[in-house]
Amino acid sequence: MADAGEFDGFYRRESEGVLVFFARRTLDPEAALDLTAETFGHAYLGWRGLRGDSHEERQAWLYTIARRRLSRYLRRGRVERRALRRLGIQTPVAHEDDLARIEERAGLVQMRAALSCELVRLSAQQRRALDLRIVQERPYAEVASVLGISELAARARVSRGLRALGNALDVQIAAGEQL
Amino acid sequence: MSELPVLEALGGEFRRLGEPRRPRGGVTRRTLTLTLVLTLLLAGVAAAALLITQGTSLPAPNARDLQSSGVPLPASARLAGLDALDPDPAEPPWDIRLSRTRAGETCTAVGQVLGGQFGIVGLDHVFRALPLGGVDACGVDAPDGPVLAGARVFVGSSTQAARTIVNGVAGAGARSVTVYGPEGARALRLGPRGSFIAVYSGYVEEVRPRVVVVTRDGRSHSIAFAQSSAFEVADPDGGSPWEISGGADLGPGAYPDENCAQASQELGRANPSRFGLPMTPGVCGRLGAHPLFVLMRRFVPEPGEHVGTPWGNNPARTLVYGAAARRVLSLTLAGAGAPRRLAIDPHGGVFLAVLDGHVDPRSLTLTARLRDGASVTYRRSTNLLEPPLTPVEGPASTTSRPLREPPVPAYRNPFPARQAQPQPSDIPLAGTVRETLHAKDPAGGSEWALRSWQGLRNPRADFGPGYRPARFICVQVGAVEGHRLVEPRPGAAALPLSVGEEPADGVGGCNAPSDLTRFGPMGEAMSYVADPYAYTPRPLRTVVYGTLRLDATHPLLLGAGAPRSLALDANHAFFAVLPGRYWDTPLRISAVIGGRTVLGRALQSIPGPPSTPQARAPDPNGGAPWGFAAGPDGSSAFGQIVAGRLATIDARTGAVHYGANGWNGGGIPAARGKPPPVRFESHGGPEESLLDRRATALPRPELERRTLPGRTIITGVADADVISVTLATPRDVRTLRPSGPEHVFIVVYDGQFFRGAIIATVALRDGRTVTEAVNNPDSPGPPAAEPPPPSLAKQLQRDRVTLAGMRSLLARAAHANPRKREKLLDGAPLSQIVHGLRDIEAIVVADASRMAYIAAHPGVLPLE
Repeated sequence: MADAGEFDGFYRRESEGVLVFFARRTLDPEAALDLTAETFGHAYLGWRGLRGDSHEERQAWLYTIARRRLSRYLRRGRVERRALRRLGIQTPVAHEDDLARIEERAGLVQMRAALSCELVRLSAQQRRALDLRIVQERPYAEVASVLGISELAARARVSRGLRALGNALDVQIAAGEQL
Repeated sequence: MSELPVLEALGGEFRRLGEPRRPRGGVTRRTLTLTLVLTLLLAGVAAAALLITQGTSLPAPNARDLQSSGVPLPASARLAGLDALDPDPAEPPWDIRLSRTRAGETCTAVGQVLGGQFGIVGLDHVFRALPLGGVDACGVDAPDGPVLAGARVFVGSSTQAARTIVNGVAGAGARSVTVYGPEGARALRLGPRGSFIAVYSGYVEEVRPRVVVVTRDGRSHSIAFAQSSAFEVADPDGGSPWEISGGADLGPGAYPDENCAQASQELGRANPSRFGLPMTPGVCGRLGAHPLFVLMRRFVPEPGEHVGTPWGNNPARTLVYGAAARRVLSLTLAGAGAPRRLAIDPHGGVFLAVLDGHVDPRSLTLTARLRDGASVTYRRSTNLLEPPLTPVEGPASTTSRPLREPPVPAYRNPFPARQAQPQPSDIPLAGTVRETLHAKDPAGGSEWALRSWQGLRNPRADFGPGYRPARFICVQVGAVEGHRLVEPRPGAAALPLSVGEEPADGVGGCNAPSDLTRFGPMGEAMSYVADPYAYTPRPLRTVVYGTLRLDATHPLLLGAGAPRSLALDANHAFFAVLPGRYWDTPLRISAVIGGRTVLGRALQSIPGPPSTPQARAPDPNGGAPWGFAAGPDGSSAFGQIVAGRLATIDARTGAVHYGANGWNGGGIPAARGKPPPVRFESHGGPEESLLDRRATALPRPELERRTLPGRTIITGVADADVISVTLATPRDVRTLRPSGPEHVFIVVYDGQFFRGAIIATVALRDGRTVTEAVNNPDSPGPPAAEPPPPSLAKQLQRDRVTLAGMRSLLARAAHANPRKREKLLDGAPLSQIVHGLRDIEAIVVADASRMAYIAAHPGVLPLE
């Protein structure tokens, strides 16, 4: 077939970029992996509707799907698996090594360093939560324990802090993706 | 290949599915529209003469929402006086209302005229006047040719009761306007400024009108609506048309005379989302060695999720498709009713027949008459190849291999919707069901209640990898009507909630006890508006519910005034109903666990980056206006405007969420080259309605305004030197003016554009205009106006240039220091570039061998 391996090639070229895209926006490698899988599930189902053959067009199309998945994730607080269910795909289980590599690929270490400079702008509560989670990379359970709040509350506080840092974070993300 | 094993494993999952079908890039596809057999009920057919009553006028739009699309001046409004008759003699005639904006644009609106009033007769047979601005599209007058043209569609109680109103303003210089529809040509009477109108029964996809305007200087302009460049055939049951595409196989390992073909069903009213579409395999064969290759296969519905088959729960069809060499003069298919000729697309040589699934493919014969006078008859799938295996799939092969046809499956009907749905997560334990928590509705409606139960994991449910809880604690929340728990639906009958049912749109869900222990107090808040179609929706109530781990005590609701103590039922579920003013307030739950007070997360879903809208557009259904906002970092968001902010409203349930309907976080890798002056995004529908598996009443806008279900939203972020953007869609022509600090605009149409192109004409401050094609999210294939793809020789030339560039790049990168190498490769890993290089090399080899074959064997293969 003329297109034999075309989607496969597309996946190979873009999957890591998409994973990094999600990792930088969720700061959660596991969620990023699930979102990546669902995004490519949608891409697979929508492949026939893809217009244009240039790399840029395909990439723009893929990231449009990715942004919508991210939007839904942030709105609903969970990763949808509709496309994957439709295709009968299992998301592979990520091991510790995988998660560490995703963090490395996403440059979360550098982002954390940059964010530490921006923390001074936040309220003391948010600053503390972000410092623990993002700069010190402590697990959420530990963040929650240190702050005396539930794990989910800690997640919410970190999330709110990151949103409060909006511009700084986005600049970091944009810079990271142009490296 | 990614160096991340987990991504490689995921890629393996996709490879297992095989390649998705896709119209072939680089293969010429020309339009050959097959005639659809339409039975039209024209005037003269007896129609039930129903009494039309006069209703109140539809509300006028807020001028604030029309700023970017033009505000028609009331004093300029007039009817064209064309009075085009409706096919149903009981219905009032149709006309165009013409008006102007202060900026001098021409606005048009389509409606019916009754008793001198301009309005629309709803499906409830009530005539409602249309105030100025609500349905009017405003566009810039062009110096020559047709000014505005569109095909407005009004929903009907049946397909034939739907109306497609072709209308426009051809300009004072128009001499004649002719519209071509299913029954042939109609010469139209011209009104003021060359306005015209024609009324057709049915939806625009079936009417497929074409307007030809001849101006006084003798020039003619043709405008086609709902056209497709695809090679299509009708569905035997009147579903969406099917298309066939194909062309040369230029993949690695393909024979030089190998072609491929693929059939697919297009989006349409019966199947408006790609999620539901059946998918079929691409097939290939050698057209130098054989006159044709053909697949004859019955596809049958598959139940439920996780089946991996792409056909889904769609009605059975027997498909016959493939491609023929140029020596084939004609094809005749026998064995399914009277023998029928199959059209062959000269470009790619593809052909297709779509038959009812009862037809046994083993009974079919396909006879090819060859140009030398001989005939060849084929029974069953013949001369098919499957592409070579990649090393991942099995022992690598270098060429395509014969494809074995699987046994013919028995015919079966689609599974009932319930069986085809994802399995519920649990099997309820009857003795655990409780319905002890009740609350008054602050809005004065029925009492609300929470039902909870414990259940065992449903072995047939799909939980994804690594998640296999043994038990669940589940809750459902609804109103109590007649001793039943129901999910209220605004403007429609409430839906009963049964134990064990996954709430599709309502409130509730299941949690594993282990999750409750891991995550602390878990709950959600859902707010409801009184009327989801109101211009200013007012949240009525906020329902808070959830479950706590079994050792949690003393739950408190925080954030809604003084802390409120919450009662727990036997399954440790809690529940409260608050006034709607808390819809955007961060509510949270605390509980005492292990002697310590633990605070849960905010209950409302986390919003994206909702911002103050910078551009607004009226909702076609008369609901809350739509807004769009963009940031300097490339982020953007759109949604309906509630209390001055972007929000998401679910019209079926009346649920309102604080946060944008969709957003773009920005920071996307920039495309190479100069970006166009306007960055468009388009969004089709109706994805959300897929969740709605239960029948509900016709939504009010469809009833009153006859708007189409679903919607199409186009947003744009423009450069500062863009003055205006004129969008020509299959619906109408509208001129928009970017606004706000980021120069943005938004336009919202009712319905989806299942056919046709969206073209934007961008006017720049220096007087230049730039044309941009906007992606039509729901249309098949490329726009009809798209230029043909390059020839094989041109492709080969381009591929060689690309290859040379990549080789040069790699050579430079190989000798560069790491920093410079990274810059040279634009951040891409070297392995990725090498992989791309190999791809291009294989494509160049395939291009060249195909060209060599064509040169040595002229006239054998179909035109590209």
